[in-house]
Amino acid sequence: MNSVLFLIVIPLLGAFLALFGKKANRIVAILITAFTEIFSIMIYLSDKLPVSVAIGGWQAPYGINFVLTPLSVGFIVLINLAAIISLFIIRGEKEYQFYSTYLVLLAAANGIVLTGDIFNFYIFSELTTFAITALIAYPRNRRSTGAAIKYLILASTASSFLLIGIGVVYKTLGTLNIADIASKIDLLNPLTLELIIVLILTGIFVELELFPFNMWVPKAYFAGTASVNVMLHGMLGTAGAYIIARILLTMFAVNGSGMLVNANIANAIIVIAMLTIFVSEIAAFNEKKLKKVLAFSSMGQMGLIIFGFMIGNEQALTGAFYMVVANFLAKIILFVLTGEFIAMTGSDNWEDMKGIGRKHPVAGVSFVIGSLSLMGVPFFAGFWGKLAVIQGAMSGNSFMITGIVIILITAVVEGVYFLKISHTFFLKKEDEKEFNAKARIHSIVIAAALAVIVLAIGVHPGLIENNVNRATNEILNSTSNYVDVVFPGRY
Amino acid sequence: MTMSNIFLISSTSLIFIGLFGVLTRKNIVKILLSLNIIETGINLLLVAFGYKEGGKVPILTSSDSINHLGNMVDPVPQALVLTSIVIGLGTTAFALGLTIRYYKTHGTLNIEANDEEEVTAHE
Repeated sequence: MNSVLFLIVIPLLGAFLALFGKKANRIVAILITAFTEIFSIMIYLSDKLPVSVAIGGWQAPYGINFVLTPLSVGFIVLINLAAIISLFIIRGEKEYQFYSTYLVLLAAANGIVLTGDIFNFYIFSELTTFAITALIAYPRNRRSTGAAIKYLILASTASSFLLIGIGVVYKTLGTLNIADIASKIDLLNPLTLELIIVLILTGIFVELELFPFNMWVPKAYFAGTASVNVMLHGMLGTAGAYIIARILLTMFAVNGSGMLVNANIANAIIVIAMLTIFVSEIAAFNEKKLKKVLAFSSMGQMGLIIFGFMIGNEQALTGAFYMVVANFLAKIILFVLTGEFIAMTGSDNWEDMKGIGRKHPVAGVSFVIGSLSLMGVPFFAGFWGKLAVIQGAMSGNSFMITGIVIILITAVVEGVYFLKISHTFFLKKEDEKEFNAKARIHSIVIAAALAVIVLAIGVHPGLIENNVNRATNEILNSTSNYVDVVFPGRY
Repeated sequence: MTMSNIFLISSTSLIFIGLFGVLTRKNIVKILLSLNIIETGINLLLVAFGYKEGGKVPILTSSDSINHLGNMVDPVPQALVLTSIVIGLGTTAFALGLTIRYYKTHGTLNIEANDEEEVTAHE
């Protein structure tokens, strides 16, 4: 299984070669991404999982290891799928800088998910920060430069706290291996543990788009091009969901329950998640720029996923994983179509997009399907996620019941603005002016295909039930499962 | 006060001085300077975690030195510091490059400048 290194090495090699390639860059990037996607699907379907790969033959905990479990490889499949879609909807990005940084981002996102070493995780998360900053700044205008530098300053300040946390972990436990830390976490003094968790959380909250740290999100989405939006959402956002599952619910988990080891901090995260949902949906309601609406909704969905993960019982975890998949699919549809619509009308404002749904009914209907799934309407993929999270929260304490109320209220708010937007698309166009550009067929085909998948999962959730249950079972017994992969026989 | 405590106190003060700078300064170059102060503080903190009073360099120079492993300082934090210095260098170089672009597009180095309205004077 040493060949799993290809998932990181080949994109990095491609990133270097892209400096010399001129017109071939796009083809090379697509080929590399297709390779990583097919390779990860093959690993997922093979029966060799779970396995721990020691790099260079240095066994854990002394060397760096990669851990492949059904959960991590499943996330790799999603991340690479988003990557390949983002390449297909590129419009006008031709320079080598774009492809080179994109390939670094791909390698780093794969690395975040695969690595079993906490310092390695820090390095890969810094790499994603650099790559995504460069991609946001790519249009080289006022808006994108401002968004990029603000994100870079925020992310590097936050990740310095992550590094301090890692230093304290090494000082107290003498190890950097995630599995080793997870098995020794009970030995720590509770106050030290609290300090470590708070430091590491500060580091990862920026990427998780949680409330006090998420003012970069609308700026970054608004400044980036359509394909960068898909990367931000599909690669970085999905990796963020994995980080919660791995760092919070494996490294810092009570063994055998899938709950965070410190109940006070878990409650604090739940409150933050609820605030995130509430604030972002209210902000989206007032917003006229379509990309910013989607960015705020992205934050809200992330809050919902974290809420599900933090409840920690089987129902809520299943719901959170459904939410990850549904949000992944639905939001990609919306970002792909938004890119097309903005190019067609030449305006960021959704009020100017009248008549688009009449001209391109397939695109319009796909947009409606995506937004209905995000709202959580029955027969769409998002419904099963929201339902299971609410079911899980029912059995929790009063905090979680408050969370249910907030989810239901914000679902109404979400419904109002998404239906308002979708309705605008089907209004009659006032002037007879032609659209600036033609819609590209392949973007609409991608969106329509994803919309069909969203509908299929919504009608028949059994399609992904097995995979979701596999992930849930892994997280429910996360510590012993994970430690057993890396150090057989320790539990 | 032992040497180790001096390291810990000075590194945490460096981190907080830097954090103060990041939070209060408006000029991007000053913010980046403060970020570098934070990074220096973290590097000192990591080295202090591996520090040992009167410790030796962790290199096996002769067959005898295997008996003195207990006197050697911990090499892992030093490896971490090396990596973190490289990352800090990368961040600073990249951010300064972006700052030049920021000055060209915004006409100022103030982080609070409005990103929306276009200016052409400095293009």
